[in-house]
Amino acid sequence: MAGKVYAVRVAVVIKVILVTLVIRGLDEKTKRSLRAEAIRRGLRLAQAVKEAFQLWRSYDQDAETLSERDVNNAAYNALRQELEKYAGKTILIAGGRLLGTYDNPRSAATDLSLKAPEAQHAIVTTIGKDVREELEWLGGSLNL
Amino acid sequence: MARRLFESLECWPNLDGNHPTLPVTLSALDGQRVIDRQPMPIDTGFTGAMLLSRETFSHLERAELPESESHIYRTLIGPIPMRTAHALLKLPLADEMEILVDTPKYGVGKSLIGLRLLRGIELLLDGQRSETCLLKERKQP
Repeated sequence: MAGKVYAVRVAVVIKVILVTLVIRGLDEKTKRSLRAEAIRRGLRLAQAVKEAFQLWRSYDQDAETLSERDVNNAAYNALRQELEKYAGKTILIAGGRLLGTYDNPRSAATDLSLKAPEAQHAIVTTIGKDVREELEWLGGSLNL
Repeated sequence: MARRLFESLECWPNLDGNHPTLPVTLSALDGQRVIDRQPMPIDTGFTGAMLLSRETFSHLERAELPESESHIYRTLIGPIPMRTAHALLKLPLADEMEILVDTPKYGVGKSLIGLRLLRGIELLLDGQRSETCLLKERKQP
């Protein structure tokens, strides 16, 4: 339980750092290309820096604090623009890599058992269909 | 409006005497059974399909949605971000279907059936008998 409280605090700290971060000594060329890449991907600069950092950490073999889930989400974020061409298809990401595209989520799950049977976590999502939904939860069972 | 007649096909006692429940069977997309005919409370205030405890959800992590596409629930105490995954659900007297299940990103969660799952079935919440029944409309003679 203490671990979960700790995770919430970390998220808040990261947000504060991103808001107030000042980078001294960054050369003009890097700054321009970072801004251009963020615009090309349709991201704000802060989002681009966050995604780049997550991807960087996903390649760091010593980063034991990064979970399989973090790595897969970082890979999805990095590929998001590119994945739009698979609209209507289901994609499978495990081990930080895109393993394939499929007609439906069940086919992706079957292929996961073949290609990465050891994976504890995988992203299975149908592009353009599994989009974020905001739903309602009225009173009732609202004690988590 | 014409009268409609229904017959009850099967009934289950309410949980703790007052929570309507249905027995559910839930599997991961690869067919691995996660819940087997377990009575699960119905909460019509939850507009998603199904909420799971963190422990139960951990068996479905091999088919999770990206965090950026996972559900968010508006509540009286503010938005609650979820982790969302694909799963296979079997309700009594119905075919297996693919659904999206949620668990709170923070907290241990709980198991319940939401409004979205009730759309395709006819249900009787019988307070007098303290039981929940699946119904079928009887054709008029």
